[in-house]
Amino acid sequence: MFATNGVGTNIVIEKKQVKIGQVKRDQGMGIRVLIKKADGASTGFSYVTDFSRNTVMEAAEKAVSTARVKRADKDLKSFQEKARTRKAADVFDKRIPRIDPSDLIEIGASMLREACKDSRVSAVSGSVYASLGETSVANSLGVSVSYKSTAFGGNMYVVAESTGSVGVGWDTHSSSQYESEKLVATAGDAADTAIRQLNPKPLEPGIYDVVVDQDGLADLFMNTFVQQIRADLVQRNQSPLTGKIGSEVASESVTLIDDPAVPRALGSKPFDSEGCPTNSRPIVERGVLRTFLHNSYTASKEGVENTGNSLRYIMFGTRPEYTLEPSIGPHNLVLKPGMGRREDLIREVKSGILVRGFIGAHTSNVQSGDFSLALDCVFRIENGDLTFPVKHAMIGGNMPSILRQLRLAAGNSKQVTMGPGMTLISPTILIERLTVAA
Amino acid sequence: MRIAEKAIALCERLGAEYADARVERTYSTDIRLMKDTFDQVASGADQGLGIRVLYKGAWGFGSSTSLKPRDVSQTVRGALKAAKATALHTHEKASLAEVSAVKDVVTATVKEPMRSVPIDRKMRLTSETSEKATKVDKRIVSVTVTYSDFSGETCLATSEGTSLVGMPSRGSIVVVAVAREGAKVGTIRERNGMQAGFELFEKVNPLGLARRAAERAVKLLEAAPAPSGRFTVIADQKLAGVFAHEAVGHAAEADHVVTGESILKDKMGQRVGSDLVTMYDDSTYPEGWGTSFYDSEGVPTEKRVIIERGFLKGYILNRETAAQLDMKPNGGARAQSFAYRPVVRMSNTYLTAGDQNFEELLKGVDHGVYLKGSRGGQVDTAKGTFQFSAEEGYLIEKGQLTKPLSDVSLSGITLETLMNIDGVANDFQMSIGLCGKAGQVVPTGTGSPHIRIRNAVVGGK
Repeated sequence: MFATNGVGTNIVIEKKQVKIGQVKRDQGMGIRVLIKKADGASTGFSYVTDFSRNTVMEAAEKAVSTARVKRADKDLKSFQEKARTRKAADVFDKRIPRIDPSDLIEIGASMLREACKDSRVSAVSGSVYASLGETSVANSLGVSVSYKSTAFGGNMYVVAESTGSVGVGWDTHSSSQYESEKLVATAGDAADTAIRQLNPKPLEPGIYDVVVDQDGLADLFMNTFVQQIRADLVQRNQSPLTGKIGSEVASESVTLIDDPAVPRALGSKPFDSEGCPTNSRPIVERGVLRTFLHNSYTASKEGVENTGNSLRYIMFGTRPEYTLEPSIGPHNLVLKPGMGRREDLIREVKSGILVRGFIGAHTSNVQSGDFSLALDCVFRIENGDLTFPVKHAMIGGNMPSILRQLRLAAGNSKQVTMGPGMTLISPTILIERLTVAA
Repeated sequence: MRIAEKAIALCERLGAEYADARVERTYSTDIRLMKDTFDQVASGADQGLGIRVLYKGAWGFGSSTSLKPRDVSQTVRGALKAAKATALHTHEKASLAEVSAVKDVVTATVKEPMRSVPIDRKMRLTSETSEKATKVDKRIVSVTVTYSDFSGETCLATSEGTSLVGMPSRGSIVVVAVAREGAKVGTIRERNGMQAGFELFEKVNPLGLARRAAERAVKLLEAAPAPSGRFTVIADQKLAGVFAHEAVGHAAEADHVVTGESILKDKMGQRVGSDLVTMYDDSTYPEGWGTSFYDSEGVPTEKRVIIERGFLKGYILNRETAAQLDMKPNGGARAQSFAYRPVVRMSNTYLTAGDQNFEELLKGVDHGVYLKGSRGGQVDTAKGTFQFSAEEGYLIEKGQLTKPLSDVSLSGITLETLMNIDGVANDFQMSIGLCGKAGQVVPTGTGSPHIRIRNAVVGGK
């Protein structure tokens, strides 16, 4: 049984004003059963949001009848056994349960003031959210664990207009802590970018060093690399990294750790969605691939240790976790930062571009890692200086080769979350010699 | 309905000037079969309440999956609190265009209720579909079949006296076939669905979808990379339908119009396309995937004219944008479920048929590209630019389809493209889809005949 129970408050900002305040209470329970058969075992799954006895019984019966008809899987042995879990990282902020819609609206109003300081700002939209919840996992093998967590964050999207030119800027913030000042600061950053994006010039197609900020990198990573280190996809031969454990898959400056115990991080948790204790482990160490991510099924199929990476999520959507069967993903994927500031990284670049985000990263080919992306919020870098905003630019490439071209990281780590299994903590990075089309 | 009415009464006691409540109890089945393995078989039972309130021109919304009286009351109070706090910071007050209150019960025509069909029959349908596609050719290396159904009971009550009960029922099946030969890979998706009981799967013809997906995937193995440049393009019904939905339909959503994020703002009555372009967003389309009698605000829906013979005639409106634009509401507000607020959405969006046949469209092309199907793409409704990847393509030479093409995309400026449509065939077809907006996904229909576009930008790899 996997259950969540939570309350989320959010506000929507549209047309330079707070459009609506919303409070959502959501509880639900996913029930999974396993039936042993002569030639293996089968599972069945159902979920409910109504916890009345009749509804739950009916759901359990449905799960059992599904398991009965499914063909037995010889690799399916059992569910997670009882195990000791660590103390959780600090992911609960006591201030959040006391937050009212009016607190978020005050924050939204401050963000609007911050974003609208310049008269060229013509449109502002965004959101602020705060939520708290409890996640519980229990099974008939004795697992019975739960933890509480909070989340806080938002985003701001700013459009500036001046003499027929349009500039767009945006920024995001997310944390398990109530960090209202940091969130308000995103509004100023978004407005600043939008204004600096005014009057863009075209870029000569060619080969450039590309500096990528954290939000863009997260989008790209989640849609390519993260899907390639999932053991379920590796076992189905759907990852270009199949058979590459112990090999060099990235440049030496790349160390990636899956860390479920990062303070403040939204992916931190003491156990995974099957109740397996989580642990910090390197995925890529100085460029060498160390492990894939497993849940109880993929681990027992291969006869390896379960890494505790069972998560319930879908790539493109916002379904509650309890409506889904366990899949696989990282908790917090941490790209080891470098030393310098972001400005120092830009200083290193003779001829390049700075990119905030990508458009269309979800159209990347997971299996091959190939992508063709439009770039968002682009600035030209010449001899270490940002010289002008760039109109329409595109890159085509391949995730495995980009990891090899990744040379330098700044020290400005930021947490970017796109949902469960989708948290990347990374600095701004420099990718050398990418082909950029106009 | 009692819960919804109680919630409304509480809103009024707490000072709301308007409130609507939606209470739902729905059931769903989601099955995914990937390479002969069921990697998802989920039966779901969802219930909950969504309450929307207007207080001094400001909106608040609350939802709860628990319907216990204490949780309902807390949800209503939370929505009101949110509206009251919003009211302190809203300079443009929201108001609602007037509509008459309605009382009605709407039931989908169902012979075999989704819930009465045991899970093994649904799983068997899924695996037979997969087998059919796999058997088409030995180069088919992977087949994924997704079965979904949804049914239940919904009700809507408003403080103006509207009270609607709905008994929705729908189902769909999606087949993705992958063919491989050496390093060449071809992927094709086919899908179909209807609003009816389980009997709909006879009409939807999953085996036909499976065969078509597999045959098209194999065909892609012969395809060569597409040329890039400006060409005369013929788009098939699916791609043209996606263009109508993504590039034009979203721009006709009145919320984008009032925020200024639409190329169709200030264009009412003006020419936006060639004489051959007539486009509807039609919530009343018979058996349509996006069809409904009432929208999520309880407004009776319509067949909305968006473009008539090239001239912009209408937008898709909810009650709030209708008031802002001083237009008559036309039932264009939809919510994914009780847990979401209604937003302006499309229903079944389509370009109407012309009187030429496909061969006549082809004959007029000396050197061009025929594009079929859609793998998705991007649209900027504010700037009016779009880019779609087609599933497959063919070179057109001297009025004949010649070489098959892969990795081919169509991009352009929406209004220019509408003006450049110079041929519309008589072979209209509807397809089903899912449309995402404001974090909500709703079923939508898209349709079109084959259309011919002059001077379009085609991208190859």
